[in-house]
Amino acid sequence: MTSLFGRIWLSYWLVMALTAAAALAVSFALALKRADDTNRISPETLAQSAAGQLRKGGRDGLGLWVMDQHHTHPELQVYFVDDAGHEIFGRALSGHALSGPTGAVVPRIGEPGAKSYRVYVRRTRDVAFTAWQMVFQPGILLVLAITVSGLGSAALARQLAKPVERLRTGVRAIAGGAIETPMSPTISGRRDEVGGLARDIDQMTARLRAMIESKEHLLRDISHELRSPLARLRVATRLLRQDGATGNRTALERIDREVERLDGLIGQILEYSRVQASPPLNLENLDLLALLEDTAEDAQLEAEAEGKSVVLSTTTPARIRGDRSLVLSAIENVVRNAVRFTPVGQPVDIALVVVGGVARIRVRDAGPGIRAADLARICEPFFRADGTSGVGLGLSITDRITTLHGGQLAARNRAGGGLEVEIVFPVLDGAGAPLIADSPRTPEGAA
Amino acid sequence: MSHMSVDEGSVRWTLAEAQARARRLPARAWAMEPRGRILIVDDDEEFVRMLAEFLLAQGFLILPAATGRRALELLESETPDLIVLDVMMPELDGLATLQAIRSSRDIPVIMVTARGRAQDRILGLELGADDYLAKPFDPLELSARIRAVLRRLRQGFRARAPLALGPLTLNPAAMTASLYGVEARLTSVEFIVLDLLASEPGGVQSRAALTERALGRPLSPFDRSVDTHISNIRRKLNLTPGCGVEIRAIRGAGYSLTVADDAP
Repeated sequence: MTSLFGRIWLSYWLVMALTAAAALAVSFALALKRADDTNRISPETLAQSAAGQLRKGGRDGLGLWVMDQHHTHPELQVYFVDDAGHEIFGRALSGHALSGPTGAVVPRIGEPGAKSYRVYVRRTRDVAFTAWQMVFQPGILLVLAITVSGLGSAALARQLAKPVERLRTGVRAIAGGAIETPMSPTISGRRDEVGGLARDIDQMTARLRAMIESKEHLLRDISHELRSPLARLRVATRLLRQDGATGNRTALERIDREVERLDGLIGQILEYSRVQASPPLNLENLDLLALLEDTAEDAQLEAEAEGKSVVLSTTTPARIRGDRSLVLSAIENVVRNAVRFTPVGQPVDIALVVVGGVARIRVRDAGPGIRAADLARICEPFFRADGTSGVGLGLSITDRITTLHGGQLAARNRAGGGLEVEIVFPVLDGAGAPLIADSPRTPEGAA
Repeated sequence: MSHMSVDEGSVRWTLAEAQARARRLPARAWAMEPRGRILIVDDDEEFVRMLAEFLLAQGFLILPAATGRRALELLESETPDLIVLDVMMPELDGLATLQAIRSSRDIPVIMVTARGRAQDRILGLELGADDYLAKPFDPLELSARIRAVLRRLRQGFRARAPLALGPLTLNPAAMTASLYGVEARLTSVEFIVLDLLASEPGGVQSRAALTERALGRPLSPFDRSVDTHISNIRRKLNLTPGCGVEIRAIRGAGYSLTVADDAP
């Protein structure tokens, strides 16, 4: 067993079972020794002891000794028989008893100067262990002890492992993006080490939250700072036109175009920087096909203006768990990129298929494609293949977003020419369980 | 962030300089009636000054405010025809200002934002702005949108009689709509979108047509303004499933308003 519960349980159980077994073994050994001692007492020894008592205390003393003897060695009966054949304490004698196992020599004891008695020792049973006593009795005790200790240590292990299990649930929620929710108070309220750990984790997520917030804030400020001068520039060129700067109309148009390009680039850099930082995901169940249809519709509108088209050719319904705006932006980047590179008059083909628990969105253009050696580098920021204009950050952003959602991006050249970019998202299974918890979350962005 | 303040002195100066420049323009621009009084709320003084100059030349009267707080103060005494409101400002930001304005006045608002993300831009629409523009924008586009909003307000709705569709009633004079007698205050764009849908119950209005007719501009790719306005209408009127009136999105076609047959 590899779980904490299992290990605690097993070790407690083992220790308790071993202790029980050892205790049983010791008491078994003690009983064995006592039995051995009893067996070793010979009639002669008993007779000597009885003679001493008789001398000291007379018959009364002997009577006390018999009672005492009966108490300490119940399996030995000692009889005293006078010459007339009567037992002196009036106990009944059977012939069988007198022919005890000690054999021929019958010791005699006597009061000084008076009658003497023969001493018979009868062993009611030989002190030896039966199979019951040897095996089954301790066996049953052992099984009982192991069962009881097993239940006991299970309860104990549960007691110890449960808060850790709860802690784990909380940490998993954080890993899944629920960075806003603190640990449950039943855990962080505990006074032990687990409670301390929960409070430490709360502190950590609070810090993480503050860091992400300040980063988002910084990105908004950067956006504002960089775009405000562009906004002024845009008004300035319009004012120049209004003042009748007709001679330089093309130059003004170029300035406007560059402002737009710079604005787009700022947007991409900020988005890239945002997704690199592993932002908390606003997860919901998404109808991937619907998102794709919306994107295709918009892209078609954009493509039409350039004499191109966008076709949604193969469609399969697919539900994924994801952040709507991020998933949309991931798809949009790939589709717009394809629209950019496909030649005029050629369509961009979008397909959605679901195979083996993942949804594959394939976007194909009829453009020049990319050298095979460069395919792996297509997601690098500002990657620029030989002879083509740069693709900017769009694919890098998409790559990161798919990774955040437990998916991936792949690019390959099509047999008939053109590039195929495939983005993969894990689909929600029938039970609605998100697959995202298993997604790799690279920590470099949080640094 | 630029924290340049536009105090009273510089406001007058801004207007004076802009008017002086505007006077050098062809008489046509200045001779006609002012097209509308615009309150520009933005902490970027330089930007406001240039924008004011441009809009004055376009025939608008401009009142600048450097902060949201200042804008609210001005609104106590002034009634502009439209407000151009920047999202990112120190103190009271644009969204908070918009909420404050919407709590008491129905003046149309165009949000202007230098924030990058699509959902940041659309945020103003959710809070009841009539339209939005992302900085940097072509001022000509802004003036076109201002005119589109103002034109909508003068569209002569006021003369039209209320329209009743099952439990839904549209009151063009007040630009309000009510469902089962519960009145909802809509922005002018929201009202026009609803009016267009209600003019042909069961029919489908394309997103392009709705954008063109309600926002006064062609639908551009990745523009989700109409969808946000529709969801605002649903929310404000409380159009829950089974309430008798439904605005449905028809994928690839547009939106359709239907009234249930059994609705009272």
